[in-house]
Amino acid sequence: MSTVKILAYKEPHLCNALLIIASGFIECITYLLCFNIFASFMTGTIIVGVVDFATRSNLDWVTLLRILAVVIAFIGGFISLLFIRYKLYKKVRKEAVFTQMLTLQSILLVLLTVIMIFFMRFNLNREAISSITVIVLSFNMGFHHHHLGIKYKGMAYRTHFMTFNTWNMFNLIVKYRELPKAKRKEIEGQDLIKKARFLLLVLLLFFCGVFICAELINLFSFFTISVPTILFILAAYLSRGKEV
Amino acid sequence: MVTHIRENRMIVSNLITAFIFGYLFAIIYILCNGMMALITGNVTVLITDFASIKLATLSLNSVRIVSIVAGLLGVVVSQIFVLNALKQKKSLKRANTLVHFLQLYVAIIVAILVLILGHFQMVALLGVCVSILLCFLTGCQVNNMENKVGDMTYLTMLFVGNIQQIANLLSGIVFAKYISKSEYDFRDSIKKIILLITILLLYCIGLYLGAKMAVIFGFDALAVLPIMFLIPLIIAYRKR
Repeated sequence: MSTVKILAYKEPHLCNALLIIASGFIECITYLLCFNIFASFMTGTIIVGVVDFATRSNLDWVTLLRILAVVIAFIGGFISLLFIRYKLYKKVRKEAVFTQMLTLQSILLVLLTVIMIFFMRFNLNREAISSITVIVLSFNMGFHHHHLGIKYKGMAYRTHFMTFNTWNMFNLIVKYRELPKAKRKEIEGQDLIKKARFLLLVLLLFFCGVFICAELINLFSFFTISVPTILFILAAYLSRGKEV
Repeated sequence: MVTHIRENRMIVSNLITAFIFGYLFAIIYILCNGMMALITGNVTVLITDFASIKLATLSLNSVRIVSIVAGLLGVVVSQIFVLNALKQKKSLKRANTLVHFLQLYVAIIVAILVLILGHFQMVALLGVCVSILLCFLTGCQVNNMENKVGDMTYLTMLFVGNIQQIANLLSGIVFAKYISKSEYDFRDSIKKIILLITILLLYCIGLYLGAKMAVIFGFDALAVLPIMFLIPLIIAYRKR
């Protein structure tokens, strides 16, 4: 009898938890050090960009960068989606594509750190660094949105949509409250409450990342980016397939 | 035929809502000292300010906390409202029209508050009031996301989601045409892309106009909200 080797996704929850914390870090770094650009909160970035454009007579570099960030995000997302589609077309397993994407992002973050050290060493301005950061992050963002159907009870890890997560969480709580008391203890009610708890955890992890990063930035400035880099590498390592 | 007309009406009413939200967000951002209308932005700014100990922004941060709490409350209230409407066997479209009505009522309250408080320079308090009401509106808008064209939701509130949807549709077209050379419903995808781009453009035009109006008229720019919210309501409303 031939043995069938199945490659399973290793430590999915831990891996995603690390990515959520890393997202919080990245969001905080760009907000505090890259002209108040929200890395994953593109709605906020476009608000600031268009408002600056409308209220200022001259179009400066920062305003342009904010508006361009959306375009770069779109291009990044488009490329990453094409990459994922191509890999899936070549019959590569979802989990393997996931690991490849994470590895790619880790490499990009390491490259960014190296470029940043180079810029700091020669006292060059940080504008270029911030734009690179946005490109890297938009790439990350595009990937996250279609994160290959890796889900928890039919619910995607929407790490980048905190407002959406909050809405979803409250929607679940309201639905739970609307249920008759007898039904709340049954599977239907328990499932709703489990999902709501999970979303609360995602939100808390994200904001933990933001908080820790804001503290670390006081000490390490731009070098704080090494923390999400390590988290990404760790997540890539954990996402490797294992034989079961 | 009737369904088709109704769907088109809903599309137009949602497109106008996207414009209104852009307008509203820009005013809030300019007049409430950089306060974001959405929960994510507010919480991120709040946490980073708290962690980096910017005491100068303490009063603004307390306003942010109140607005976040109010926003969450608004979401819950609006969701209970829609769920109740659906429970009473009202159709989704009927619930949608009710939400439009609710938005109009809130907009009228905002306008009255602006006219009363605006002249006392109570910017912080007004910021809280507007945020509470605004988040209430956004909560309602979430339920509007039930309005779909095909399988696609109108993510007027989530700009990033719209961009990614466009990227997804476009990558699907490019992939089918040049790589896999498989059959693909190009017409449907292009239609969706055009609709999403229109939403984004209207949102940006709303932002631009809102910023200009806020600079010229200050908080009084919010007084036109009831008229604005009346338009999608008239379009979405249908007689039984």
